[in-house]
Amino acid sequence: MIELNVVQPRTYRPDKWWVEPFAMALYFVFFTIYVIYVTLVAPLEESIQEWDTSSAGVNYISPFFSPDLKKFFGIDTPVVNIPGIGDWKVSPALLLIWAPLGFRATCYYGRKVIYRSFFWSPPACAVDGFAMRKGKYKGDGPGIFAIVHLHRYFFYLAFILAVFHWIDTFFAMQFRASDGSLAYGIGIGTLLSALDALFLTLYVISCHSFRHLMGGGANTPGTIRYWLWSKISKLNKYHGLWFWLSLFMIVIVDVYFRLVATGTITEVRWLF
Amino acid sequence: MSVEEKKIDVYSGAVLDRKKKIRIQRGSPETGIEMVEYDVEYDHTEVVLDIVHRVQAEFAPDLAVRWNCKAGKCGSCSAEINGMPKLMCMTKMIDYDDVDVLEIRPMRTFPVIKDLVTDVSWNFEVNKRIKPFKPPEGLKELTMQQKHVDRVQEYRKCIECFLCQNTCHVLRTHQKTNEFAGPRFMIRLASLEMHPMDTEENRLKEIKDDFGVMMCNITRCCTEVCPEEINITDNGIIPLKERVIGEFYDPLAKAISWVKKLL
Repeated sequence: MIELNVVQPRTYRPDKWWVEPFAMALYFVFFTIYVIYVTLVAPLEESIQEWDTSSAGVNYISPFFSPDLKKFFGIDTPVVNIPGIGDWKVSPALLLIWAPLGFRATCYYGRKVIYRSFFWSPPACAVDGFAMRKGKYKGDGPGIFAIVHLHRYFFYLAFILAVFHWIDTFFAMQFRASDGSLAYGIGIGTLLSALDALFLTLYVISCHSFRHLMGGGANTPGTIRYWLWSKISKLNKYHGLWFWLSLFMIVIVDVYFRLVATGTITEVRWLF
Repeated sequence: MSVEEKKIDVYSGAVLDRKKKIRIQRGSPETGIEMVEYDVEYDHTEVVLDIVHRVQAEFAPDLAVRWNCKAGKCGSCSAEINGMPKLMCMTKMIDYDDVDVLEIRPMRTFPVIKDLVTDVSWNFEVNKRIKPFKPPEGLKELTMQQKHVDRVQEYRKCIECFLCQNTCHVLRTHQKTNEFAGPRFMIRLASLEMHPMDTEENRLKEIKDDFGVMMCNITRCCTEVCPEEINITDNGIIPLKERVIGEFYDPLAKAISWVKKLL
């Protein structure tokens, strides 16, 4: 029906439309490399072989390792000897990472970032992507990508994860004094842990699938469902913001805890 | 510059103390299409449509442009200003003070009739395919709670400027006009699907099969360009997708319905 009148360039926009998709792609690539480091490379380094930060007198656990499989479920991951490389402890992060990654990859905001930054479909508004005029565009979730429809199930896992992040924040208030006694207080790590839990919670409960579940799916929701739906709708408006804040926070907290665990920095803390 | 030296537009009273090179796409497919440059003076309070009118008045009386209210409510003056789809009447000239040249083109997704006027009739054909609101039989008066029509009222803000249709890459780049109805009609369909008193059956199946809600890959450009600031993606298309997924794609819901059938 619609024919292009003349051969058009990709876009007529003179502004720097490529900055946003490029910046988002850059962070995603960095995050992927960081995840590979945490799950596969870091376990080879002796200094953080033990995973926990107890040697520094703190009870912090990085978001990548939450929930603590050993503490809550009694699961201890085995140590594998790789010839030529050395001992490699199977990282609990490797066993856990698929759930939050699955939630983010199937997220309605996360998909926007992926489609814009990596598939260029489209890279920015009023800018043609790579598939221009090939007629190959199949829409959202064709074939194997139908996995995106499982977002509503990943939500439950992410919700459980958010609860564990708050539990971790509680444990991050426990410190061990030099005589071995337990003390309660607040360290920089506790605050970072609380921020991580807060942003993750905001990201998870502002989820579109949760909003649908809580009243969006009904034409005449009851009073409680309508109240929940209207509150979630307010948070949902900033779903993208929570997405990025929680994604930044995971890395910030993990880096900080590593520095504390390895003794690179001495933490400031206030004990009650 | 003193007040006496200032050039004043005799019709609007605008103080023409700024200058800008404007390039406007002129012509039709039959006569050939070209960019024509005009040097235009303008006032800091003016919008792009004012400048197009000044070009009409001073340089090109045959310049074709569709406009009506000049208040962002009729949805007539949609165009692409420096490549971005916008309403000419709601785009301030001072936003382009730092730009050397301002280029105005018609909406790219629709065929040009002449100059800045495009043929948007495809949209009206799509609209005809949507089954209208069907109240319950024998109902004399529609009585609803405000909370149940809150979200539908947001969709009613649409002024049918078709900027979202123009920007949507499914229509603009991939030209899937047979498979996808476009964001504007997703919003209309959402207003019917979510209406508490609508009794039309199979609406959800039509939204999936005939109007192609799954063609949208939620890259949100429709929302970015909407002059009425309707949250098209988050409040319209994604809730529809969630309903369609629940009805047709949800593996657990499918399993439950199979078990129910067996019982």
